Amino acid sequence: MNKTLLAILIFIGVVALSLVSTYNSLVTKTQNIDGQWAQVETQYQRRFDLIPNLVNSVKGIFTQEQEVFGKIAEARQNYAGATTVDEKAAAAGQVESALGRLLVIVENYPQLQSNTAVLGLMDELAGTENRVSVERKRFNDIVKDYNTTIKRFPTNLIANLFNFDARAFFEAAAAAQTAPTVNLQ
Amino acid sequence: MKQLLKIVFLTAILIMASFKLAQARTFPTPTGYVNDFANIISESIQSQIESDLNQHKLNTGQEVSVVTIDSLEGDTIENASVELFSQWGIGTKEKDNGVLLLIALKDRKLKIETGYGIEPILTDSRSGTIIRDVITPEFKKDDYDAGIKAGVAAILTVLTSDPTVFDSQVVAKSSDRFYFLITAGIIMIYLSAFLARSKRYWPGGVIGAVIGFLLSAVTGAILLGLFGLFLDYILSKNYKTRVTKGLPTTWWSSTGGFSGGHSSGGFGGFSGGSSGGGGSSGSW
Repeated sequence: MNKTLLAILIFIGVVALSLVSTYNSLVTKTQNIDGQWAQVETQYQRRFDLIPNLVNSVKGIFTQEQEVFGKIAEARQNYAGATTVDEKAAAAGQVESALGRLLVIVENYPQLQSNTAVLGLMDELAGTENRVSVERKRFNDIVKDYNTTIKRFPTNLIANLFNFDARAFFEAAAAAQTAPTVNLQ
Repeated sequence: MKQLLKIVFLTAILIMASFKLAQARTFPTPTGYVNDFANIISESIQSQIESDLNQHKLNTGQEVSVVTIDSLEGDTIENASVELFSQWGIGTKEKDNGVLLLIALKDRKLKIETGYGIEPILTDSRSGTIIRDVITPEFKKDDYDAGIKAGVAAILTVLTSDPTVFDSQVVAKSSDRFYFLITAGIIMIYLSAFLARSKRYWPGGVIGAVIGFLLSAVTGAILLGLFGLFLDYILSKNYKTRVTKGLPTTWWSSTGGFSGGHSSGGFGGFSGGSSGGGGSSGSW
């Protein structure tokens, strides 16, 4: 067989192989990101399932803190109405700041410290908040990895060819970065 | 020859490991279920808890680990325990049934971290209760032995009180993995036998490069290509020497020296479980 032809065939084979494997790895990465986002949403859902229980068990005691319950209810509604990832993230940030307030309030009510039902719910809520932050961090980690991959040479050529766009990071809500202030008077 | 092979394998593993070690803080490798890095548990209590946890692993498959560290080095206890949990992989990969009790001495903080599969049983409120009512009262009296012992006992009680939940969630995943391993093993054996008999050195390199390409493009091709070249070189050489010496050339006798000794009975390392920040934390 013609040697040049053979060389060309081998070259085409190698290029095709690398194309397929890069494409496949990008697909895997986007799938992982979607899977991780689902994991974040699972924890959000868990948080929302817990809130009514907690609110009901402390509402009677917090006669002066009705405002925080209003905020939680509002944020829940926003989350339920959210359709895009960005909207959901914003609504989740609202819930977060309202819940942070509630957690601080509960810690400052001595009569709640002996109420095992409330303590249990607070544990669940604190655990859920931690889960949310863990899953979100993992989400950001794999998004970063994916974004780096599609911007590096030569993968960026293939990413452009097949429209693999950069994904958005999950930004911490602006409100969550400032500690909530509580007025108990 | 066996030693040479071992050295090659260890180097390959080290090279691969070095790519993955870009994490914030690396914890020492575990020496058992109890890892008393802060030196606060007395020897007799430690060996007692170790054997309890070992027994628990044998009975239920769940891996419970107790770790004490001196300081969090500025990190939060929640971060440190997630980090440690994922580095060690406490619990089995299929069931994620690990539990970590992490105690940071100087920060006076502790955390019970639960694997994904443990969350429905050892719930956050249960681990919160254990921390509040069982462990911290003893810690406040500086009696770490009593606190840890009672805490582990409470964790094991919760875990064993309703073990049936676990049995239903399992099985399916592990059998897939099993067949994959067998298939991969058979392919490996045929490849090795072919490479050894081929007398040439280069086919191993080519096969390695192709597999490497499929797995992870250029870097994979180079790494696995070199590895394949090396493996083929050794296998072919080994085959030749064995043929000239009149020794048997079956797979088992010529390359069967890979597996290291697997410790029986005691702690054999954790099994790759993961957690997602569940559990509860507290301070004393």
